[in-house]
Amino acid sequence: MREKNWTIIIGLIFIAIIILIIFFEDSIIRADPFSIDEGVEDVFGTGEIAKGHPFPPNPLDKYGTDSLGRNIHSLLIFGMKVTIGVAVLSALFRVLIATPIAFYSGVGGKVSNTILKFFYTFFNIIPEIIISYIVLNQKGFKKLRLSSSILVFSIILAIIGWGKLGKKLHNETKKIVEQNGKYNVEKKKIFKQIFPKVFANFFIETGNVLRSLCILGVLGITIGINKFDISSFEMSWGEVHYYYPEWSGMLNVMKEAIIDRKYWIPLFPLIGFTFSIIAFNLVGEGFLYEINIDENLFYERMKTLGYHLSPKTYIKEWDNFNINRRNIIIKTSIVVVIILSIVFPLPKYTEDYEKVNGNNIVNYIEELSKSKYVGNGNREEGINETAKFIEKELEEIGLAPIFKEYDEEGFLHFPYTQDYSIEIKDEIISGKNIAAYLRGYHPHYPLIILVDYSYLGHLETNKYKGLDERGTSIAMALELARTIKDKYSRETSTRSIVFLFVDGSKYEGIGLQLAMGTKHINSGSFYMYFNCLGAGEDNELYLNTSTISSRNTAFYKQMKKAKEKIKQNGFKFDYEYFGNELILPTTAFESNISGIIFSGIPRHEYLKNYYRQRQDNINNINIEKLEDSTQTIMDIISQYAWSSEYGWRYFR
Amino acid sequence: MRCFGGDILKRNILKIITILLFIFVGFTFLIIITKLPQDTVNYSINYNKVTLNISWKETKKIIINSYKNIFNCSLGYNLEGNSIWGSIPYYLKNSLLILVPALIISSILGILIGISTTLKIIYEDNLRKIFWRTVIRSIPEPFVIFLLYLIALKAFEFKSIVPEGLEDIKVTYYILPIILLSIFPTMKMIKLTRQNAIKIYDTEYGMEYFITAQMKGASSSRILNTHLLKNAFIKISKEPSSYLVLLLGNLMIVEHLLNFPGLTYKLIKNYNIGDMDTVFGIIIILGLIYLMFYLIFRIIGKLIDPLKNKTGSQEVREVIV
Repeated sequence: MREKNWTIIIGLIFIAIIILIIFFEDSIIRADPFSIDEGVEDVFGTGEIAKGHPFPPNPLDKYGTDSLGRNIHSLLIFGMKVTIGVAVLSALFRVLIATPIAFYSGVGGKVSNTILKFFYTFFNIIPEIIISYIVLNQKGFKKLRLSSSILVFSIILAIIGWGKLGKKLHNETKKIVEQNGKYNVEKKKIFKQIFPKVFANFFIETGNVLRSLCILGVLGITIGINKFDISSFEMSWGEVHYYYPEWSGMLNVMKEAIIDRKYWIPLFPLIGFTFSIIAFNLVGEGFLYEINIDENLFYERMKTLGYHLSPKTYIKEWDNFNINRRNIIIKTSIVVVIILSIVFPLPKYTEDYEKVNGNNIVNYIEELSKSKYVGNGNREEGINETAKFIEKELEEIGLAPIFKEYDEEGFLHFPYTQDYSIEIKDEIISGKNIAAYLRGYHPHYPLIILVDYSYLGHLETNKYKGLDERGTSIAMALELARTIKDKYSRETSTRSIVFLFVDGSKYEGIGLQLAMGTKHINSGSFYMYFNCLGAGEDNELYLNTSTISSRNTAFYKQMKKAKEKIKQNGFKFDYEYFGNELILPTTAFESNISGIIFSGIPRHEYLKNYYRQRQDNINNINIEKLEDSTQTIMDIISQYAWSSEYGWRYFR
Repeated sequence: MRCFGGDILKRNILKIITILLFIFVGFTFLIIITKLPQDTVNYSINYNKVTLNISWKETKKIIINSYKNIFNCSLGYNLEGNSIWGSIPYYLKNSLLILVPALIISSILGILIGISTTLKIIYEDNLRKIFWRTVIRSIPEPFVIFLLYLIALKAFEFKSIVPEGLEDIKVTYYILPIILLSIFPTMKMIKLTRQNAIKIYDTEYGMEYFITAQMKGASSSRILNTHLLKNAFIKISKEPSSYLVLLLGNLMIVEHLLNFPGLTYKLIKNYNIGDMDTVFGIIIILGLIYLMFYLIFRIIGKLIDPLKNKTGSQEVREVIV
């Protein structure tokens, strides 16, 4: 009996594991891979107090954290598809370039032979790794979005590395030609003999590309743009140069990790690389072994497979039903299932979410575009007008005031506003927070709809109105308040929902810090912040989940649901990192409040077209997108605030 | 006679033109990727639109200047205004001090282990061995370096990361880089030796060649060393490229991870500060090191080739064999 080829079997099992991890990454990950953390003080089981990241592996972060506090386990799982994707794509390109050139050079083509010789010789004299390092380190490639970067990396690594594969296939072709005689051999026959080797080499090349990516990662190459503004972090150790989770980027700090003995940081991506390279190489070598034993085996097997899948065979099998009964039943069932799933797709489970009213949003925006909110040249006056408007609306909607104050006679009052006046650096800072809430029956983890209502800013000598940026956010928040109240009056929410309007123009959003400690506004809260949702492409939404503190792993489950909802509602979403330009999220992050930023535009577009720009043309607002975004956020809020299933046990 | 003198001349001229063209295209490619300004390829604000900022006049000037620098052997000037060739010897010396021992260790070890295990493979090769060989070969270089470094540090408290800015490097700092640099090339050499030895055994000389030697009373070590090793090495010496590429590629990882001030360490450092003239110069020197090692292999191969004094075409040589 022939020996079982365990090399292929084990290789295929490993590849299956990789594919399963990629498909079920969301179920495996416990913390958002984009979540960062800063200035943490945690007590571990041993009683040791750890200040600042990176944390070594511990019961909560099983693989430890990196210097930004990102969970290495999440980065590893989430980054797998990017790294493996680049390797598979690049190997495919290598095969596509190398096969025809090697084939023609093998049968005597002079041009193809010269091309092959050049690439093979050149990248032998100057090692592939050095050339790849120089080409991929170009500034232009570092600015690429992830999808474009994956493509560029794949193409460049394919162009630089196809020579070796080409040479291998060229030798094989030449051997066949020499064995059969130049004039006797048919091209079809050569192809038949070469194809199985191309197939096996595809796996080996995938392993080779992974090896190159591993080395390039150590040398500091990352896939995709680095959206982090490193200077804005106060990191105790190392620098992080990658935003999108991927294995090469994780190895960027290997040298620093070795010097500083933070071995867990490079260890896990190295294990990931090794496992994947072994998987692909085992399959490739296993196939080569089989092909070397019997050159026609692969072709015969493919032919047999093709024969069994052919509709002609299926029809023929009906002639001898009794003999082919088993085959017919299996094939017919498969065809029926496929047809049924196309004709009658499974009904999607849709919850009955409250509908937002687009007209209300338009009315709010029209109101806010009036000149009185500009303050007739007096900035404070404009902000006060806006505050009054918000306060009036919250009262009309019927939300409960959240602040408490005692009057001169000692009576307790519950106002919608919190006035403050504090001295910072010899300057009196005065301002006002406005807030209202709906009390949920679960006391923990309330939701905060956080809005910056400082409607007017300075543009050197001119004033600007933040209609697109802040005006739309206020309008959205008020309409959400109205819709949520309607839903709440029928069914009390699980979590409390707070609508907090802060004047972000006052000393780095000091209002938010002063509001902290008020009931439902604390480090256990989760905020949602909106940025220019009526701008940008119709179906694009950008999420900044880095603001969910990596310590609050429980919120990740909710975010997974939020992402699904965004997709269901027809939006394409991408991850985006906003720096210190958005004042309130920055203040919240520094105060250890987790949250998410929804944006209609990416950061670079915001900085170019909106940040401190005049925004007073109501016609520039994409009302339809704003409505759709508001509805999507309403659905997400319903999921969060009315949901009872939480992964709370993961909460630190 | 099948070839006339004119044909040979024509063929040789064509060969020389092709080689010159190869060198020209190669150098120009290197100049383009290293010396063109970093903002040559630009991406518009929505990332997906590629714009090229190439001024052909400027590019032509850069290419011509680079060729001038190559021909006057200065390799140009670095950001501080010093000649690149003048600033490199320290790094070149350090790199060669770890490259040459690594080359010697890995070649000797690789050939010896390769040849001593060849017969085992010929007689006993099975899937289990292929499996384990594949697994071991699949471990990426950084992982092995990482593990060995940890072992060196934990077991022997052997610190080998050169402190930043240290000019006078102690001998102990050379030990780990040489060991780390030797590992993968040794494995490659083992593979090359086995492959070529099997080829010799299976196809070229045939089993009969060895059986005859055995029947004539040659000991198994003599068969291995004289009949197999020599012939295998001659074959390796003709195609050492994959081995040398691995050696030079690994040099970059070892120097980077251990802070070892060699050529590739300087390459990365100067790349990061935008001194692309130095980067270009280092690449040229690395290419020359490759050619030097390549020639050494070819010369040794020629020296031990029993057919070195035989003249005639390949076909005639095969008949002699």
